[in-house]
Amino acid sequence: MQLIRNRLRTATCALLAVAGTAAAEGDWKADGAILGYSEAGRTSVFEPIASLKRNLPNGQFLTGKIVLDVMTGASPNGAMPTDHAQTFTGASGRSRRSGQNESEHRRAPTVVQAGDMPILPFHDQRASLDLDYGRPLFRTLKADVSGHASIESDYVSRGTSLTFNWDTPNRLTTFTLAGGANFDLVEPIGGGKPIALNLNTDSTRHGSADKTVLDGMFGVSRVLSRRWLVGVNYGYGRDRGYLTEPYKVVSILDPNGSTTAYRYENRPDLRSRQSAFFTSAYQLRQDVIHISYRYYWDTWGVKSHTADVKYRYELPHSHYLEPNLRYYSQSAASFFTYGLMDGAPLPHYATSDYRYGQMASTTIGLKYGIPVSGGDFNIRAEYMRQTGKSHPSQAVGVQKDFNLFPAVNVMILQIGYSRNF
Amino acid sequence: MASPCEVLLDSVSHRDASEILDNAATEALRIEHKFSRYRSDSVIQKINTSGGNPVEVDDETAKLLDYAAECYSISDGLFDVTSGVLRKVWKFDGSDCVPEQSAIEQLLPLIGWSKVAWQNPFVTLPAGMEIDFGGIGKEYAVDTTASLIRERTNSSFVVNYGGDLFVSGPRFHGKFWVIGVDDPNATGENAIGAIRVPRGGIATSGDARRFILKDGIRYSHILNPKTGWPVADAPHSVTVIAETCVEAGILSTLAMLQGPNSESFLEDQQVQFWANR
Repeated sequence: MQLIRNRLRTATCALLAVAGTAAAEGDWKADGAILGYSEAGRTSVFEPIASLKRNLPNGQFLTGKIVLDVMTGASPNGAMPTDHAQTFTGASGRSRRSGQNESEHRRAPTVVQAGDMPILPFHDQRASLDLDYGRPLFRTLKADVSGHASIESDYVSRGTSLTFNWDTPNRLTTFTLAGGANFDLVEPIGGGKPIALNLNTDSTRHGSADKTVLDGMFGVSRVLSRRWLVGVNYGYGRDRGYLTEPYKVVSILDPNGSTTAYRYENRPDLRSRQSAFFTSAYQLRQDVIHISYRYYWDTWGVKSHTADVKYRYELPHSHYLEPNLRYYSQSAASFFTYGLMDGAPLPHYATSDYRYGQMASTTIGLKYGIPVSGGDFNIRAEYMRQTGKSHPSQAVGVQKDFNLFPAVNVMILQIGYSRNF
Repeated sequence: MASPCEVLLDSVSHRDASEILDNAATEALRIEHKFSRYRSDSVIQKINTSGGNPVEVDDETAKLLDYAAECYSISDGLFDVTSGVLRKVWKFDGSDCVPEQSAIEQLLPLIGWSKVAWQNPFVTLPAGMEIDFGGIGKEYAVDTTASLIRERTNSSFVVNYGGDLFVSGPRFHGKFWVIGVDDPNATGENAIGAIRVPRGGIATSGDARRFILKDGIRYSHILNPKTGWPVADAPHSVTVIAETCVEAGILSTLAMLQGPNSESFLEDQQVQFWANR
């Protein structure tokens, strides 16, 4: 039967007098971007990304991506503001500056004024590599396997994932099933992980620690009409191992709420996470409106909502403008605390990491794209404001006088270029 | 062509687009007039009224006759440009009028490419027989229009003559053209599928509106030239993507002629397709 196609192709070539198959266009696609992220008064990240995709015969493809992150600035170490100055040695995490040796690094203390949220300086770099290979298995089933490796001064991560996409015969519905596993190794600066919930004056260190992250996802997407595409998915994940931040502390409070000491934080060594996600893309005459909503919940007590809307506004000459609005809110982890009372029995778990507290953020952004030969160039700017409970009811004594969650203002700027050749 | 025809050009100036569209329209009309069954000035009409006498044909017609001969051979006689006479007894108007077997049998001797004497540049058709390029004419027009446009511009384009298409390549910004597959039950309103096409020809065989329904059996309008009967259990329509529109057209027609085996036939050919049952 295969003979038919070859004979037919030859006959058709003779009829149309075409000079054989033209050189295939669009076999390569290169993407590059530079992202700048900056929290006012806190952390800044500079992130260049480059990726290259090659289309191979029979629907196969291979992608390679490199991401570099340079992170500097300061971030909260978990200690709360209090009614006197606080002094911390070492960093809230991350590496020494290059050129500094171990003892120099430890010698530089940070002094935080009374009433200020303690933030400690840090500096780190991360490099990661992702490789991805995909191919169709049958006419309507595609498989994708990927590998990931990343390295930071105190952290190594390796992972792999497998994704299947199956189209129904009319191609209007696609089912997706994906699974991934990541194995991470933490080697905290200073020789190892501290003993959980011990005073931070205790310099005992345990060595390295590891963590396994497993993820699974099942999704369905469907073309509802010429203009409308929707999708839903459900995700389940399990993290097991050392899930604590080795450099973060929890404030110990006297009966007046004033900080007298600090203990290392502790998080459970197991977490199950679930999420439900809905997305919709609807095309008006030329423009497209995207909305999505995600609900997340886990066994640490964190529940969150994310709602996002983007409007892609097509301009003449294939330029486009895409404003975007996102709202995020989360509840605090069950073991999140603003401080432990001195002398009270220690809980099993405690963290003051603001990222596990009750918080909300609103992001407003704008992206502008310009087509260039074979590809496009785009620039995106976003402003995000993160707020939390500045004066929670759990605040003790003098803590009530201070802002326990100063708002964080973030600016993001990204420039990207993508090209097919 | 009895269908709406359009040409889509990506990132081309208005003046160039005007010129290209004029050329495309001229070419489409030229082919329609030259190979029409109805026009007195068409080559087909000349051949079909030759009363058994040899007719000298030009280069282009010769190539089409060569192609018809090759497709007849490749398909073991299922693709036959002389089968058009069957329309005299088969009217696919949704009614239940099935012709008498005797009426069909009277026409069978007038069908069969093997009875045609084709020796470039002379074709001799026995009296009473007819040639009809309806099965490849539109697809051929798509592909020749595409060649013409390709000579005039490097930009990406789509030629769409009534649902038979050619996609030249990815668009200016690197993305593929997205082609919707029409839902015959709500034609022009709904898509039953949508695909990103990197490059190639797309053709569809079958039409849900042209059929006969009798005693609960649905007869599609694709007729088997050997038996004179429609193929039973064929899909309502088959859409195929191939390197050229003509090739896609032949494959979709041949697929329909396989009846219940349409899909497995196309899977064997390793082409992308939709079969709508």
